[in-house]
Amino acid sequence: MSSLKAYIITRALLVLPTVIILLTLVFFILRILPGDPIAAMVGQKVPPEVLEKMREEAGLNKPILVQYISYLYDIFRGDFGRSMIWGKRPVINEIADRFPATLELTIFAFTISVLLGILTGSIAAFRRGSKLDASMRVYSIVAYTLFIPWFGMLLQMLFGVYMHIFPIGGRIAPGMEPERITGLYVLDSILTFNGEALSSALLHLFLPSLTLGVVLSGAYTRIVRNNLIEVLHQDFITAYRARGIRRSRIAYHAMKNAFIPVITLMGLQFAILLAGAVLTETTFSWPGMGTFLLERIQYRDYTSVQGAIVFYALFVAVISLIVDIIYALLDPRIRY
Amino acid sequence: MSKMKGAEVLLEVKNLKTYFFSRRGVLRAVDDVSMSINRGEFIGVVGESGCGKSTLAFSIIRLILPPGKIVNGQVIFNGRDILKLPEEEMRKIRGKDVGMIFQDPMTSLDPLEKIGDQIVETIMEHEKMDKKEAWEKAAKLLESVGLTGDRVNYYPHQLSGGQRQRIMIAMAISLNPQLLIADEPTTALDVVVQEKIMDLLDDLRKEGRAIMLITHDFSLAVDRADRIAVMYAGWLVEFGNAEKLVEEPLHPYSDGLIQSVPDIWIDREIKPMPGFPPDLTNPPSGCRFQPRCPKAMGICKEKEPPTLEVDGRTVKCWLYK
Amino acid sequence: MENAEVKTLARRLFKPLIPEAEGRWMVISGLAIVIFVLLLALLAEFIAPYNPTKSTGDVLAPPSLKHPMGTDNLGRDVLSRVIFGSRVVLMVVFTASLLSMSIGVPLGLISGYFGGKLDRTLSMLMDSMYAFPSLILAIAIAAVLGPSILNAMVAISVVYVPTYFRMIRGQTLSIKSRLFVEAAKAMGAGHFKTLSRYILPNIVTTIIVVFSLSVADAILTEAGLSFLGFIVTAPTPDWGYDLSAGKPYLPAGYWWMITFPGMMVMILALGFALIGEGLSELYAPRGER
Repeated sequence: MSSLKAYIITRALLVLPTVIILLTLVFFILRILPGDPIAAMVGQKVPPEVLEKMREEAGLNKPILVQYISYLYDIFRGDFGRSMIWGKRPVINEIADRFPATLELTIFAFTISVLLGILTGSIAAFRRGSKLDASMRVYSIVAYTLFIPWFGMLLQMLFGVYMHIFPIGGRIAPGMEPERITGLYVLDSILTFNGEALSSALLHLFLPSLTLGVVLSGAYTRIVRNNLIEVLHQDFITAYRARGIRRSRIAYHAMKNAFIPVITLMGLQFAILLAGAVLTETTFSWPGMGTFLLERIQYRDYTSVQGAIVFYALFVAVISLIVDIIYALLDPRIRY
Repeated sequence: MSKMKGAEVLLEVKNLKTYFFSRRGVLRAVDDVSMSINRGEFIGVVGESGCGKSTLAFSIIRLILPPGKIVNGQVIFNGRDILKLPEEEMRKIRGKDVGMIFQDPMTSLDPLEKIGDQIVETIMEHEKMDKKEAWEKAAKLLESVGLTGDRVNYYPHQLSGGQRQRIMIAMAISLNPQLLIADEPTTALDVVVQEKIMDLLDDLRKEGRAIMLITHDFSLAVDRADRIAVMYAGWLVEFGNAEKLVEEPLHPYSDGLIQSVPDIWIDREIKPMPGFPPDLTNPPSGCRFQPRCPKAMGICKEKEPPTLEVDGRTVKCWLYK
Repeated sequence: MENAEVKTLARRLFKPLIPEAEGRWMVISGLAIVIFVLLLALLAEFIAPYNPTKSTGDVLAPPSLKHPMGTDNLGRDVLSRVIFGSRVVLMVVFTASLLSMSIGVPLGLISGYFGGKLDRTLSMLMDSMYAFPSLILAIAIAAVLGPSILNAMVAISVVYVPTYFRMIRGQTLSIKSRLFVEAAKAMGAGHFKTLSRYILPNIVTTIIVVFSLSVADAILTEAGLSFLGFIVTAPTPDWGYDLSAGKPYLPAGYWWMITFPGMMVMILALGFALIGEGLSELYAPRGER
């Protein structure tokens, strides 16, 4: 399957321009937009000498082109600079501490949204024109317009405050953190056979990932429904029926075909997922990238803010590459 | 070709009515059709597009989807009325006892599955066989339709239209069905490939299978069919021995169809038939062909013609009353 | 445009209101919601029972006849804050959406119509922006510019330019390839005439649909930014901001501080989403669904 390899390599190379455009965009927003980022973040009350020193630390006093080149160069070396507060730790280490929390949340939310979307979308398609179909379509619009913090808080209120089933914030009960291997608590507690940590991590994950998952599922409901309806009308489905293939197998083939365009949606949905994660993390005091970004904006830690946004850009690019590869693996028409 | 006379009946369709219930009214796609197919017989079903030929075929394997419905009649296959079977029993007949080939081979194969997987799935749905054996059988089947066995590892998009139609045929015969229904199997293919596919169908008949070829192209049916059924506007207007029907068509519509086909008698002038088949939600009064019929009489507008037995053929026309 | 063309266009635009049109209920209920919220914003002074920024004396009072949505931790009437809160959202979202539309639509038209290098460059830039999480982009811009209503408008308008661009570019490309544009060009119509007379009228419906849908999305982005503290400060009522103000009181069970402002965000976004969805269904040529 060397053609698959060739495809992946081409895709990977094509990601580079996107990455550079995104990084340039971030650079533009942070350094060229009217207004001094440091002043905007720090406020007017700081003496000019201090401002100047902070600019120097952030490398903002050099000519803009020099700044741009060293910015790109540093990123490609994996150097995100040092935090401007506290221990002046390398930003990349700070991100490494926070990113697994976001990854864990987004993986669970993503899974929930896709499963819910496939479930509701295929119910709607297989029962096209029925009341069930109509209600699934209403679901898809309403889910999409749910305001994440609000929906999250309603769930917190219901399941946390009144029913005491799920905790309303944090990643895990204090002191229960599993030994760090990947930073993903669920995975780490499985790897270290730590049952208590696992159940605590899952309990904490439930509400935030449900919140994010439900909100994102609406888009899948719709695309799954429309694709499936289209696929069910295609000749090869009739041909399967004419060969006496059982219903469940035909449904499987139909879903597989309907799922191909859904994968393309996943790439774009992932960006929305990350944006939604910022709000989810804030709502559930989840110590991930989103809360990191907001925290550092508040602490006026300019290098960390830049690092976090650059990291988001890289992450988005990597996801789009992964989506392309999955697409190629599933659809033979792309591969050859 | 009349050697089939008195042969054992494989399939008998009696008074079949398949209607589509749309907002505009009831569309009578197949209206009171009776016909039969003998074992090993090649039957051609001809008529213009929209005359109910495909609906007849899909009714026989009970693949009519809503808003369509088989409202009346019997389809007796191997002595059983299959319209009365539970769906699960019917499913087991599809593919195993009746194979079907479709018009457009480009869209009739699942684009995401290898050819081999699609054939093997069909075989294993109906027969107990281990996977390896089924794959070997799939390769042999491909060879039997004139492809190389290594095509099992291909995906549909890697093959041409003609190759794909061969694969559809291989799948249709994978369980050795007694009846093969081919719904316009060559319409989407170019002329050279068309001939080859038709020859392949001919070969399959020689192996003892009954074949029901549905086509709008009279010339395809004439060369190979034992009997021909002519359909017009949901009616079976003439049914009988192919040679006789071509030499001396009884129904004016059969005559019109034959005259409009170029290559039956090369020295004859081609006469295209004027007009179009009617809207089946609102068919003409009396005989449905009457507005286009060169021999229409007064009664044709008033009463539906009876189905008569003439010269060993059935014909639905007032001319022979 | 000639009279007849204006009529055809008008008929197409108002088709959703024709009684027999399918899916009309979506457009109508959406419009009803939007008009309701607009009226709240316009008539806030007359409708709101209390001053939204002054204490009524009752602190954290649950919903009652006196305070249908209760009062907050500073004793302010939640209903009055919800009513006044519609103002910032509507202002920010409308201004931002009009801004992004007036940038995105012409760019999309030009890019799709002229093609070439310009199109490739613009498309790549817009696609990259589109791929980036919109709220995070808005946060970055708002953080650099500093929190204020004006800066939030700028941030939100930047975020939605690619949405307009992509849709309009795609439409322009497909209309351009249709015969009548070719014919117009062959008959010597200039670029400007072709664009304004043949292409623009054909994408008006798309613009309306994209506007409704992106306004729905922008409402959620505005509420998000406001929730995170990037739009308004202390006494100004805004739904997203009020929601975050209610958050600390949630564990103690003061549900009314969060329920109502958040509900309004959803209702308003739902209103625009219904209009957009309904219209896209109604404008779509038959058989496309």
